[in-house]
Amino acid sequence: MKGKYISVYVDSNILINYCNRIKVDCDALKYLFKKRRREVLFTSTLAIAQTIARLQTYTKKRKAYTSEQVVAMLEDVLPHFTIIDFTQQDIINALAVDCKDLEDCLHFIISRKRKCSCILTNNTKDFSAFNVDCVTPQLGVLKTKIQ
Amino acid sequence: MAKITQQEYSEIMKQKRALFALLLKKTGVKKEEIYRLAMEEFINANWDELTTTERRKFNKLVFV
Repeated sequence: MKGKYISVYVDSNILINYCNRIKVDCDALKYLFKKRRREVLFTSTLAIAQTIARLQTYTKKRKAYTSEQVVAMLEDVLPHFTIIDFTQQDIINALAVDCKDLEDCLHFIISRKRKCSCILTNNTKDFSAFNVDCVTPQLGVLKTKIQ
Repeated sequence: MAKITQQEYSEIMKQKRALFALLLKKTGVKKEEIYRLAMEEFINANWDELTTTERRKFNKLVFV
């Protein structure tokens, strides 16, 4: 049984948390990798760029990762995804939408290009204005919607 | 086949609610999250029922 969400777009905060070994996000992505083929699991060049930027930034909890470490982390996770290109047209389309947060609007517009059923994100509030189903990376919820 | 009586139905629903509460606790999922997901799914599946005039009233929402 497939469950309601066939194709899933994964937001940058999930990728960042996965690379930072946050358990909830790691469990969620590992579950997704088992249940969905690469052809229906999406992220974008925008999300990857944001992930790289965050990983190479010092935080209070950790040092900045080196380029080699970032490459190794991305080589581990990205082969599971089809990567959607972020283009100038996406920016034009996002600007045409009357929304408060342009960055989230960009992710929404990108996910729409491949008709993704839902967006997997830790920030469901940020997408609340858009007509898209958003799912948090909690296994209890994922199991009901992605089978 | 005998139908379920009202009493039996009440008992079943009582156990379902208790089970729901237990599973929410075990999985760490909040009830509000279940409600939000169900509400948004319903809205997203049916927003095309709205007329253009009706959509305009919901000016904080983006229908694409």
